[in-house]
Amino acid sequence: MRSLYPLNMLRAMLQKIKSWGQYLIRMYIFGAWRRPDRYRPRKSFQQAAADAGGGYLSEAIPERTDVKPVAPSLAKLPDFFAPFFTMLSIASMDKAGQTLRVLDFGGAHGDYAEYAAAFFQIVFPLNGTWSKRNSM
Amino acid sequence: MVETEQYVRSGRERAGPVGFYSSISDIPGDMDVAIFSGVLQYMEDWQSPLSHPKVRAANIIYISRTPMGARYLPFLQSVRQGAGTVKYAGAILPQHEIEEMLSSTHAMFASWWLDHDMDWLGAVTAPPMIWKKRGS
Repeated sequence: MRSLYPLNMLRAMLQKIKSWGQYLIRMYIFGAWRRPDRYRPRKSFQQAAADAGGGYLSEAIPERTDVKPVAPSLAKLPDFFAPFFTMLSIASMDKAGQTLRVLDFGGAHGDYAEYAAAFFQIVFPLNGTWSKRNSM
Repeated sequence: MVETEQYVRSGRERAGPVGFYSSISDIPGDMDVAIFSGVLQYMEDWQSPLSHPKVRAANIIYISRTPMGARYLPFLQSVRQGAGTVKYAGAILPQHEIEEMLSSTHAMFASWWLDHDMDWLGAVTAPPMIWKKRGS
């Protein structure tokens, strides 16, 4: 029995290697290719920019990005919305009902503003700021 | 909203209630809140918007959906959009540098521990952060 111990160890190791290999192959063939986002490290930002082509400055971006009307809902939100709502609550309380002027840098079509309007009763004057309809 | 020329053009064409600008400097007056959600990692000079006087004067600076780590790590991101693929240059940003930059004018008020799955780069932390202006 004792003499079989190294053999069993070897077999167990091979099993682990096999399962990891299968996992990696599965991830690469079935996982990675199906993912909406894929990331590859690059030596520098410049190299990544060269590989990306137009990237964010591509003329095609706004056309490719669907501009669907936002139907704000508090159900099934991604996790990062919770900190956003917390931040908005704190900012609103600090201003005590006064106009809240918000800069959304890189905010695309303004989805955050739609959520702010829907759940924080924030209205939009045409000067580009968000303002509260009621104090909290 | 501060965006690329394409988004600004697209946003203004839709004539919505949110103001679209291509530069922070173009926004009239001061801001109460500056939001950077999923944007800094796509900028080679990510320090510039965080250093802008209007941002540093804001009562709250909110950062989210931004992968951060111990060191700067450039990447190429491929995003499937419809039938095509758009590529972006980006980088995992050094968290300590962001904190050092902001802490001269703001104090960390709240943060969350959220991971961002980055495919081959693994799970990277992308902590939402609420920074409040010192003395406010």
